[in-house]
Amino acid sequence: MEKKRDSDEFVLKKEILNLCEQLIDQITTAKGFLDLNDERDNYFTKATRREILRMEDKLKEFINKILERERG
Amino acid sequence: MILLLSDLILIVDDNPGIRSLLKELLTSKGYRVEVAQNGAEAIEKFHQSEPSAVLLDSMMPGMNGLMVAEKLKSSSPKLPIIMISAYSEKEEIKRAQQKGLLSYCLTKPFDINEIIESLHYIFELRLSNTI
Repeated sequence: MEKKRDSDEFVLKKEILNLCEQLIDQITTAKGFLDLNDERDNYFTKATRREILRMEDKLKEFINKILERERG
Repeated sequence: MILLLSDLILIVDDNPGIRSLLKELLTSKGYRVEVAQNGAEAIEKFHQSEPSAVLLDSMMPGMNGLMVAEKLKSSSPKLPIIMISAYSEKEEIKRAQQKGLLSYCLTKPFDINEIIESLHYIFELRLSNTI
């Protein structure tokens, strides 16, 4: 029973990490296209970029927490 | 800036958004670009088009980036490979770089300037090796 719970938790952790990496890809893409934009100094572009960076920080912090737990 | 207009860059990433971003970025800087969405396609396109450098994603389904790097290096040992590693794989990629498989390594989420700087770095290296 305990083995099954450990294995389920392992699979879930992998799935969460995978989802986080997909979100990182999307954040990278969104931020990259904003930076390619000719209107990068526009107020709304800057505000959007700032929010994307906040999302990026939260996600990195979450991934670090999972990795730390994995290392014990 | 060290840029030759004849330079062709092969972009390998399974994420269509990243592929399209990198393609837009590099073509806007004057590079020619070829794209592949997985390892098998990357190896096929590499033999067809003989790129000057490869921008390679590390985390892909099937053959991952390191496996692709090993195959490409076995047929072209001097090929510059820039690995774009997943955030959770930073340590693993550092070890691959120490083995000499990679010329440069970036971690997602990257800034577009880092991509351009990494290409300048490897082309400057190429230039200093040929003088």
